[in-house]
Amino acid sequence: MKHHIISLCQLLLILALAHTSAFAQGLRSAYFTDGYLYQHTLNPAMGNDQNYVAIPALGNINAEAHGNFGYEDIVRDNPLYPTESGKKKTSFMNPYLSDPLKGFNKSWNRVGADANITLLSGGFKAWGGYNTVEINAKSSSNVKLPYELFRFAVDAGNDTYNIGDLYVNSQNYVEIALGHSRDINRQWRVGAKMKLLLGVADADIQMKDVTANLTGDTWTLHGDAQAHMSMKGWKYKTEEKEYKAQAGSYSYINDVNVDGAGIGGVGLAADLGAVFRPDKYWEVSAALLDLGFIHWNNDCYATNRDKDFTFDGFHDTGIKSSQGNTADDQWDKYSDQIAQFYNLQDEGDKGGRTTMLSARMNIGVRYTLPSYEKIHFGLLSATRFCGKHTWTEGRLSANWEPLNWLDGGVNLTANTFSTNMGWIINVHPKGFNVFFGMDHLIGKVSKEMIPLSSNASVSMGMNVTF
Amino acid sequence: MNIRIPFLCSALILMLSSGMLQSCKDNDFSFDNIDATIGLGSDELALPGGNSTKEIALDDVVSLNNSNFIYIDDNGDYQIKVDGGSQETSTVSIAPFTFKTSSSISSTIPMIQGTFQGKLAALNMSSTTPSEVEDLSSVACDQNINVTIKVPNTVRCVDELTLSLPSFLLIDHATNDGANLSISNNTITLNNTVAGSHTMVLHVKSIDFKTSSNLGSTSFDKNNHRASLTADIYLKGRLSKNNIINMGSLSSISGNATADLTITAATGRFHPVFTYDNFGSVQLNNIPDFLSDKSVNMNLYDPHIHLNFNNSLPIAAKVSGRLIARDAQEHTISSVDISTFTVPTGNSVIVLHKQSEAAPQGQTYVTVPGLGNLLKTIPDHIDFVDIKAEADNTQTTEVKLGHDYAMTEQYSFSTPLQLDADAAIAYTDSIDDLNKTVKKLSFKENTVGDPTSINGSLKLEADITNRMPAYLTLTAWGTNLQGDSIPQSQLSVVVDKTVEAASDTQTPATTHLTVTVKPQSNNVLHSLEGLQFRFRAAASNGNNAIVGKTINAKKQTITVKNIKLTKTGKLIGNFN
Repeated sequence: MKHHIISLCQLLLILALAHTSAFAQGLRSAYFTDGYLYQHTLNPAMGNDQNYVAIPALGNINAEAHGNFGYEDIVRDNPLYPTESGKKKTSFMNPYLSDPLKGFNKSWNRVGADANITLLSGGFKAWGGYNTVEINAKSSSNVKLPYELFRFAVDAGNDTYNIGDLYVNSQNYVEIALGHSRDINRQWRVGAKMKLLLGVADADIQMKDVTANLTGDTWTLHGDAQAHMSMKGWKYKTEEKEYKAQAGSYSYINDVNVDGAGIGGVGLAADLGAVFRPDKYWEVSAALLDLGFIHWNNDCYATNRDKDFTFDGFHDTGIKSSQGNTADDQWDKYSDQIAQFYNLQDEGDKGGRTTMLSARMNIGVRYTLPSYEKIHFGLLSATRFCGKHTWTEGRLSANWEPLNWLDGGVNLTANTFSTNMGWIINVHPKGFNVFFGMDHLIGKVSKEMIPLSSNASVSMGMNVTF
Repeated sequence: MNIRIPFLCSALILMLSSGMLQSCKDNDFSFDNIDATIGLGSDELALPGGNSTKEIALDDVVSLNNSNFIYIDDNGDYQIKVDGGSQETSTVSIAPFTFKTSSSISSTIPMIQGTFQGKLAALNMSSTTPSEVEDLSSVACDQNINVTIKVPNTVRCVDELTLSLPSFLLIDHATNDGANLSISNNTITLNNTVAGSHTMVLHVKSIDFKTSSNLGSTSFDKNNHRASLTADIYLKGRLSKNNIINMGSLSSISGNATADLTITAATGRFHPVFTYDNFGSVQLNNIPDFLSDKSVNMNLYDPHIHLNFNNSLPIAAKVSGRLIARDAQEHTISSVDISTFTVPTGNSVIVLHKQSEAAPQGQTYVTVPGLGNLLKTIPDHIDFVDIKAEADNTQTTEVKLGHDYAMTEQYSFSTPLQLDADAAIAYTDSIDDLNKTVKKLSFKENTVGDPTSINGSLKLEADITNRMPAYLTLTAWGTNLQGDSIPQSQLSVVVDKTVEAASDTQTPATTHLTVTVKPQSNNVLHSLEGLQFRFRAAASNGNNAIVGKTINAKKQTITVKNIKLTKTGKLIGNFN
């Protein structure tokens, strides 16, 4: 096709490329690291011993990807190499693979990416506690695909495929947060943050009830594509096209235009946290983060005109044009049908919508070795509530502070997607704090730096302390 | 504390981190290093069945290519008709001949009182006859026999003179010294013929060679081409005493006869020969596509060759010849001898045909069983040569001598398109430009690296309803990029059966047909450029033959229903 058509897949790709390049929501490996200046992002009840100011845009950079299938499940070792092919890798759709679907989950296949970049941040002691001021840019994107989709891609035959629903979601906003934490008594410390959320863009794309019935003399495809886009200045660009077989024309989305991006919505959120220290060696903490919403000013809705495409062959076909109903004529009818099925049409701005943030819950237990208080262990349960994309994680860490300006830790984690390990090194001499850590070892990456397992995390930051 | 140490550690951490990332890089996972070999569908996939076509008439798929010898009539029947061009004419003429007097005998007859008689004169005449004359019955002439009678002056007059001539000489008019004479039964009577010389002119109308007479004879020698006659002129007289002047010397009457009889017409048997170079040529231009395939056998059920004659010779002609079908390089493709047939006098239509059948009024049918051979392979032209045309020498008729008799001929070829038992026509077509699609496709190899270890095929099934009175056989084969046919051993195309023929358009025959295309190797698939197929319509399937049914362009249709396409074997696309 010569013209550009924004199908669901292209829209998905745009969002994925735009929002999977970066950053996570907080370095959970540092939850129990005392010198980590950004513990308050994991539990607002946690403060710092020092005041700090983040180096703009470099104070806290988090990038995290997670999923139960990854690049190495889609791109596999090529069984044709080296005798029949000079390329070492191939896609899972290569028919010479003995088990092409082994990397996919038999239920849902999920990939997500989170990003956080602290634009400005500062923390200071005042008013009987510890206060934080932050401006962060946050992004979270998730894709959820059913197993049946991959089975259909590998082995489409005369069968019925109840593929189910496909989901893509992306949420992007800037938050302005004010936090305060204080000791209530010797054992309890509480904290909270109020956040003003400035929405940048939100996309919620679904293909619902996707089925493919390729049995008998009638093939049907069904899918209800729905795309909700909320972004200031967002506009679908459409093109008018004549039907090939029937009279009239139809319009379809073939591009997008963002004219004057800016604040597309406003919301509020809160973080709540508490820390309980029954004695000097034990500490129990809990936090609820990102309890909030964003109201978007627009809801640019697009959907496919027809939810079904039916192909039942060519009937009563004329051999020459004078007979009418030639194969070309009937093919034109199917072309019109399929254009109505997979092209999205702009249904206009539905006037706004409200989306909830993906709330998080962290619950931690920490134990300091009485014999060597520079070492402490922690167990953290982190849950991310995001509807169909909800995930949970358990992390067992060991932390060490060998020097008063150096601390770090390693940990083992098991979550909805994988098991892995993480680490943190935090260097904080007087006047300076730099940290680097991973909630998941990146493991291997491709030549293009794409993590092979979809589970990777990098956090780093540089701050000035005083 | 030396602040440099923490900064060094920080820098070291960052460097180590970068180094870790770099060392974890697996360059095998690169967008440039991904083999785009992709399986397309499952091992077996059948497209939705129930596909069908409208009724397909022959006229929908085949083209006459502006042919000059085949057309579709108002009823939709295919008709073959081609004219032989201009008329061919030959002229014969039998030359006139003349009986010349070879000898004339003069006699004297003594006169006596009373009656006297005797042979006055005798004519011996002969002529060389044209070679075309086989037998003479009679000849016509418009000539005179001159008889001179001399009456001596010893008499005043002769009371009565009676001349008798042979009955084979038809005398229709006579004069004596210019005065008309009456004739009865070839006898002429003169009264009171005075002394002196008298000239009688006897007009001979015809000579009858079949009548005998005691006063002469006629003869015809066919082998020597000679005709002759001997005619005696006999005289009887009566002399009364009163008319005798000198009784003592009555003397005699003398006479002689002369004649040159030029014959202007003859009745008999003749054998003139018409000379023709040929009876013309019919040119077959722009062969329709369903007759141009090498498998075509146009053995027509009952072709007709119409010969229009105008024979001005009053004798029927015996004609024979040979029809030769030739290609554009004048090579003989086939020939058919045409046995002798009779062309009557006047206008006639002689129809050479293949089947034995009764001729309609006004036409003469001549059965030529081998006539169907002429178009088995469509020639460039058909010549009617080696013509022998000669008058029927068994007939007795009258011809004008010296007259040109012409026989003109014009022939045309016509027949409805009806197939004989071994005949077949064929329609061929092709699907081209396949290579740009199939070059990227392969079937999965059971042994990787062995392109022949595949087990893939494409199967097409359909129900074909046939209203044509012909058995349909489909053959198909692939062609490669060089345009050469791919052998069946490499690309197998198997059609499981022949489509049954309809006995008539009201009773179609339905056949379930299966076509299986199976490449023996992926290399064959990658070289495939086109698929050629041929539908051959034959009158016979080897067991039964439907002959003599006219092929119709509009009413005899083929309908294809329940078309189903099934692919077996995992198909692979190589999108590298």
